[in-house]
Amino acid sequence: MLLLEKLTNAIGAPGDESEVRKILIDHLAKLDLEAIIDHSGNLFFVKEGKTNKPRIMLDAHMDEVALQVMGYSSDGELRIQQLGGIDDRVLGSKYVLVGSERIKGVIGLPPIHTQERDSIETVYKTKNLVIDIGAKDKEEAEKLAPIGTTVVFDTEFELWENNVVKGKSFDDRAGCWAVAKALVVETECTLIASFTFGEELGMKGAALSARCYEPDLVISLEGTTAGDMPEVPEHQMCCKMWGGPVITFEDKGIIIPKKLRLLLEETAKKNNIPYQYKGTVTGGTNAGAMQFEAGGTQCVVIAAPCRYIHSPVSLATKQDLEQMVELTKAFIQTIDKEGIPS
Amino acid sequence: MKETLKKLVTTCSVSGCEHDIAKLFCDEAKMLGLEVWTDEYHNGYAQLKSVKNKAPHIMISAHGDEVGLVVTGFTPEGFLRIADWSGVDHKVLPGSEVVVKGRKDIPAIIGILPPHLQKGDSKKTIPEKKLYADTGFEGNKIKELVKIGDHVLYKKRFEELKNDRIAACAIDDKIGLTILLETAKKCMKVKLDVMITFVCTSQEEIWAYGARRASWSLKPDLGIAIDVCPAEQYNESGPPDYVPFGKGASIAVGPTAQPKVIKSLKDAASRINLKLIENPFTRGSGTEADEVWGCGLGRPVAILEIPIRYLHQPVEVVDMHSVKECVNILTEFLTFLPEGLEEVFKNAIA
Repeated sequence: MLLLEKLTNAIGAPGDESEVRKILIDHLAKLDLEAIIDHSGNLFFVKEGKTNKPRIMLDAHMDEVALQVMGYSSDGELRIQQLGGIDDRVLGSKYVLVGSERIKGVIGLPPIHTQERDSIETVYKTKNLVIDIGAKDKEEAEKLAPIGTTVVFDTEFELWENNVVKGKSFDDRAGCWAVAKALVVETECTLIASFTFGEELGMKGAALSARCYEPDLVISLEGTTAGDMPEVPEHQMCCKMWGGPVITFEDKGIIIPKKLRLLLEETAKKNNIPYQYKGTVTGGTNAGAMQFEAGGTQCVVIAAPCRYIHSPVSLATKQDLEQMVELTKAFIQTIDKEGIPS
Repeated sequence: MKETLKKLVTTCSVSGCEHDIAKLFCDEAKMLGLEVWTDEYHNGYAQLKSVKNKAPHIMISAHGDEVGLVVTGFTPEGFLRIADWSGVDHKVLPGSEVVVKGRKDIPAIIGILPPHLQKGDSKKTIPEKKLYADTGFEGNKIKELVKIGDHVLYKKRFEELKNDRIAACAIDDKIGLTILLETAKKCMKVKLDVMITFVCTSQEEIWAYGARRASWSLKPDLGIAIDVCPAEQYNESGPPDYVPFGKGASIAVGPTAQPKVIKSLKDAASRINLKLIENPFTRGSGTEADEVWGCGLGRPVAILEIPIRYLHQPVEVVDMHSVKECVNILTEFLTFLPEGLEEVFKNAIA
């Protein structure tokens, strides 16, 4: 879990993923793989296999939902906008890290003592919130955090005694972690690890990645919304924590080819890996963009169930994460043996 | 001073459970050489004797308790239902990290449903009764660790911002306790014409019963409360009329605060080239000073305040320059007590 700890503690707003890149490069140097970085910041590692075997891309995105400095208050607080989708209701009273220098800041709300009774249930929109970094005035704030500076939540990774992991950015550092772990699998297929930038702003990196390598198969690894929470009917839960890796039928960007999905399920059963379905057609992943951009490459999505993604702090389980890696490795070996179903 | 503050803010002390903070306060004061004791209300006392016999007795207090939540029930899946215990705004909770004070400290987060499952008006906050704490433990397991009535507190943090400003939870009123200890340290070095009892009081966030108990047992000639007040902060509808932030300590001015004491404190400030910002209040001061004021047949009181931002939230911010100024003013006041105050003390009838 040390790699996951490093990856989730790293800052990586869309388009500003250098810390994550560095951790992955350092880690994968152990495998003697050369890092390839494209002009937009996508990071690739290619593990060459035999030419008659499928070329498989393992995909995960490096970025996380974040904020961006867009101006200043007269007192030297930072005005912000969102990079990626964040519910306004989770922003108030949170600790944040500003810029690559990791300047500490807080997003405060008006104290309960001074709120009008009728505004107590009002949600403060992002445009009406500011970050306080302790700057004395506007000039100091401008110097410390110029316009465009990115901001992420200041949440530290923890492994709890019940084997639940807590941290930020499991969407999609959990995926990055799983790609790095799965890459060691023994196979004759060519494996292309693709760590993309800017997924949260509309799968920006995925398009370039898929076009560049035109893989025969993409396995997209994600942290996805677990909805096993109070008052949610079973059929709306999407997936559950502790339920094993999540297999997608369809999301907002892709329908997974049925034969491919059935092969994935078959693989899970043969290897005694529990799995569950993504029970709702919500959200989108890199897979959609890749299928479209690489002229119809076949894609599957395997995800770890995570509670509270796109918020300052999310939860996942060690077991689900490890099983996601196991399933991915097993699936690569199945494809190696049986080829891609057509 | 920051080290002391850090120790204080990272000690859990929700209203009604102030044993640990009272003990920490007494331990710190004892190390400075003060005589310390506690009472059954979890008040912590630290006394400095005067060189004089029958010297006037001043009670200087800050409250040790902090805001928190309470576990009110379990869902079948093992989530904890929660409610406000002593002054938490439900708006700050979704996406927050907390600690459940069960059989041991259990980390948890306050969950929020994913957007596709959200019903109702997204412009409205999620009501408290819909909120829950997620420990990651399942169904029955959590019941072995947590009982209904256990407390839930914001996760403890202590972060340094720019310009000597600190962000943490429970700066209200651990900053007051810090001022008490720093002032005590300075007063140890001088010969005092007064006797001072520094009190770390309990239950201020409820009704300040700790200060009531402490003042009735001490029957001081003067009470000074050190608390925080809302400072000016960013507000989209324009700056409100609050005390400016980062411009020094303030003094509460209103019906229960004794004018002569206020004047003496302001004089003490100007003697050392500092200024106390006047912060007017109506009715009660909203601090424990009101309880000291009503002790016996009445006691003269004054309230010194540190203006802080984001009061009662996990991210309260304080300016340490203002804190240092407050310590210096208070020490100056206690060291050179003006003659005129004798009259005020005489009026404090037991």
